[in-house]
Formats: sequence, structure tokens, C-alpha cells
Amino acid sequence: MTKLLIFATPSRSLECEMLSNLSVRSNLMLDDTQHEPKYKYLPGDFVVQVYIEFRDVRVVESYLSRQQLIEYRQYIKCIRCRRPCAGTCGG
Amino acid sequence: MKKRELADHGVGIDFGTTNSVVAIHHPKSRKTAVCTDRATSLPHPSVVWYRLAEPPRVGREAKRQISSFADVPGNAFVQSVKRFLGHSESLDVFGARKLPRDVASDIFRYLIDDARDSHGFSIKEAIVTVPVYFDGLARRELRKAADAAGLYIKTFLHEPFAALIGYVCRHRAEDLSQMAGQNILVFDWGGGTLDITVGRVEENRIVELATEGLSNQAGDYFDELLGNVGKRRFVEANGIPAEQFEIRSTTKDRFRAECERCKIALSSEPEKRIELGDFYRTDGRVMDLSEVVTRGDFEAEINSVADEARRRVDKALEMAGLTARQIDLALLVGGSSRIPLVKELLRERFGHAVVEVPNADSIIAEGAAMADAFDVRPAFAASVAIELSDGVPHEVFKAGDLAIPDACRKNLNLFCTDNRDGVARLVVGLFDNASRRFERKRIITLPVNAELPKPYSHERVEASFVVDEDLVLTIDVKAATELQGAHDEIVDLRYAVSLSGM
Repeated sequence: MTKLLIFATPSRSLECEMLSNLSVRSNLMLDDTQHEPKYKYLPGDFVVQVYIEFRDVRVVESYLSRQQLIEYRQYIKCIRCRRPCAGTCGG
Repeated sequence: MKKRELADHGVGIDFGTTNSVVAIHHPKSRKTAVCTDRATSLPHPSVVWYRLAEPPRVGREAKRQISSFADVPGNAFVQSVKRFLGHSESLDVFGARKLPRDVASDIFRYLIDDARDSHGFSIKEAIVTVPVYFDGLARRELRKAADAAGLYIKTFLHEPFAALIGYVCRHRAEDLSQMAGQNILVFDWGGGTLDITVGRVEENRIVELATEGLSNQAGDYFDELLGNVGKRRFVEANGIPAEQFEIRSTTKDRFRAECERCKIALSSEPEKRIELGDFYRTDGRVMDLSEVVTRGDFEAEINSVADEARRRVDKALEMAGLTARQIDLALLVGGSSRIPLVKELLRERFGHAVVEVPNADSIIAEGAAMADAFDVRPAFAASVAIELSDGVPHEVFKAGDLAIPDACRKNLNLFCTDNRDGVARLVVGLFDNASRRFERKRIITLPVNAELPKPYSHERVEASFVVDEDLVLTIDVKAATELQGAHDEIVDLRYAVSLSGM
């Protein structure tokens, strides 16, 4: 799966021109003891994909940060539309 | 002439696209000698005149002879060689390949000889100034050129920053303290580039807050635009089909010199005639050029470039976090800043803060000489940092650290937080700790293994950061599992210099 890693930034002005509100983000973190455990720095959906222990929803809810939970939930397949719709299908 | 001892002097060289200047500063007497052309007291034109079986002539004499000898076989003129430095293209001189750095070396040799013969200074080392965006290759070529001429470059300084040092350090110590807190914008529009620096004078130092610039849209380009006006008029007046019109290669140097002369005159006169004998030959006829160009014609041609310059000024202000009203002084430096339209655009922005520097031709070299005399070494004005995946900046070299080659070397071990797309992104920039602002300079991408092994192991990435003697920050990044890494260079870092001792 190829994913474009971008994040939205607050839009500044619509008066004269449309400015992009997307920005490329770094995906590197320092590999040292201060930045352990490493899973804390991975996107939430990726943590669940690569660490087997995070497939348990109780582990997910307890150990992921708020931001990681948002990322994780955005990629859960919806039971209704069967797409990662993040609740936008109305189901 | 008796040679003067240079042990306690500082030497600065402004190696310009159009003109070059050497300045020598004596810190005890606070006097600066500027080595200009003896006959005209103007800077030395960066023009080299090659003749068969004779040593090259450089400077005013070479420039003066363009109109007489450019068409004569056995003579070749090289102008604006600085623009070619760092590019692989070699110049053709009498059918032989000549590297741009060899020509630059001839200019350095001439400047050294002139300082010795005309002013009695024996120069062995100096601080040399470069445009803000003069890339790593160009800086290395310039260093090689200086080496070949027997000159050691102690360090490079950005041209507008050197002008800022030159302006501030002319003041006495007591006046210097009164300048503390002033924001100064240097607008340096020369022959090859526009360089803008926004700086601040603090209690004990001068700091670069922002830098901006335009490459290849400066004096030389204006000559070309003015030449286009002359050519258009000539073609129309003589009924020559535009697609058939082409100037002979031997006439180009003469035409360019004439356009430059006309451009300079238009700064003080409302109109000027571009005149050139034997300009065009067709069907056995020899035609001369004689067309009147007004200042309005010239301004209409350069208007779009002036607009771009205005945008760059605004961008520099935005990067510095200042408004035009917060600028206390706007210094006009460089030949193209003398164009009335350019002065007007800066007066629109900064009003009375605009200062036409009286020594605009030499202030850059003077600033570099002062920096050398007081043994000033540039320190980082903002930290060189990387942005981590959680958005937090990590300082690689801290603000205030001296930009000394041996000290500025660091390796970082990183891991990729998401390797699914097979690419790691290293975001490098400048971080200002006070405002917590991170200014992105580069996003370096490098391949990483996209496979997700079981059990999962993180993709490790090693990054090395080195600032070399040319003040180029070199970044090499490589993933542990990949053969191919990535390499990048940043030249427009921001610096600060200490005023203590000045």
C-alpha cells in the first residue's frame, strides 16, 4: 500500500488566492534511549499493522496516544461501507 | 613602493561579477584603504583580456579595450566569469579550453599585484565575500582560483552581511551602543545577483535575521534587456526581418559594453543614444547602430524584475518577522541599486530609512576587511536543526556555535517511523529558539526498505552534518538496508558576528 504522508494545516486566507493547506512531514525520529519505546512515534494505524500485540483493542486504547488513536481509527474498515471511511458514510 | 606589514591588518576581497575590490583595514587607526583603479578611483572591472603570446590584461585597461579589440583576431575578452564558476562549461579562448576558475585566478592575481604595486600591500590571505546563494561548487571553484593565485581564503562572508558589518563598524564604540536594537535591511543589487539581508544590531553582535535573493537577474541581465530595446529599434528602422537578425559573435562583447555604458548613463540622464559602429553586416553593407533609448524604455523593460525584487524584500521581511516600519535603515549597495526605479521601489517601502551608502562600491570589501582585522569568525545566528516526526525540532548545531569546520561535524542515528512508501524524509532547517520558529530549508528524501518484516524492525537511517571551510553545510543520509543514500548542501545559513573588540 502506498500512502502519501501529508497533514493538513490551518487555511490562512481565501481572499486573494487559494493556498495549499497540506504539508510534507518528516518521518524520522532520533534512535536513542530518550525516544523509547519506539512505537510511540509511529502513526497509529502503522503501529497496529506491524505490532501483533496491538491488534487487541484493549491494548490499543491503553497504550496509543490521542493522536495515534485518531490515526488508527481513520483506517479501520467500516462495518457498513467496508471502507476506511472514519465515520463519514453515516453508518 | 615600500611594502607595508599586513600582520595587524585585515584584508577583504569583494570578487564581483562586474567589479572587484580589495580593502585593507587597520584596526588600531580604524582606517580602511581601498585598492581601486589608480586612474579613475573606481573598482577594478572583472574583465580579462587575452591576447596571443602575451600575458592577460585585467581590469580597467581590459574593459576599455573591448570596443577597439573585441572584433580583432587574436584578442578575446572574458566578462562576468563569476557567473560561470561551479558550472562545468569551459570557456573557449583562442580555440583552447579555459576553465572559469582559471579566468578567476587571473583576476585574483591582478588584484594581488595591484594591491602590492599601487598600494604597497603584500596580500597572502583574506576574507572573500560571496552572494548568499553562491552554491558549494562555486565556492570550491573560487577557493581553487584564489589558491592558484597564491591567496588563501580564510573564510567566506555573505556580501550583504559584509556590507552590514562595514556600515555598522565604521561607527565609534559609543555610537555602536546607540545602534543596538536597530533593524537594518541591506539591498545589494550588483552585476550578477540581488542579495537581501535583514540584520539586527544587538549589544555585542550583528545578527542575520533573514536572507533572500535573486540569481542572474541583475546588472548583466539589465544590459541584455536594454540591448533588446536597441536591437528592436534597429531592426524596425532598417526593415530587417527579425528572424534573420543576428549579431556576430565578435560584436557581442562591444555591444554589451555599450549597453552597460548606456544603462549607467540612464541613471542620471533622461535619455541616451546607444551607438556602435559596424554593428551589422548584410549583403555587403556595413551598418552602424545609433538608437535613442529613454529612461522610460529601460524602466518598462526591467519593471517585472523590479516587481520580483519587491516581492523578495517582502519575503525577507516576513522571514525576519518584521514589518517595513520596523526597519530603521535600508542600505542601498551595488551598482544596480543606483537605478532610479530601484531607489523608488525601496523608498515606497521604507521611506526615509533608505540610505544611499556613499562607499557603495567598496563597502562589501571594507566590511570583510574589518571582519578579518578583528578576527571575527561567523557563528550560527539560528540553530541548524532537523524536524522530527512528532514535529519537534532537534538542534544539530546550536545558535551561537562558531561555524568552524572542525567543530561543526555531527552524526545522528535515526529510525524511520513509517517506511510503507519506501521513502524517508529528512526535514532540515533553521530554528530560532526565542520565537520557537522553524524555517524549513530542505526536505531530503532517500530510499528505505518498504518491506514490513515479522517481527517488525525499524528502518535505521544515519545522517551526517558537516560545515566545511567554505561555510557549506553538507548533509549525507543513508538507510542501513539500502545502498543508495542522499546528499544535499545548504549555503544560505544565517550568521552572527561578535562586535566585542571592534
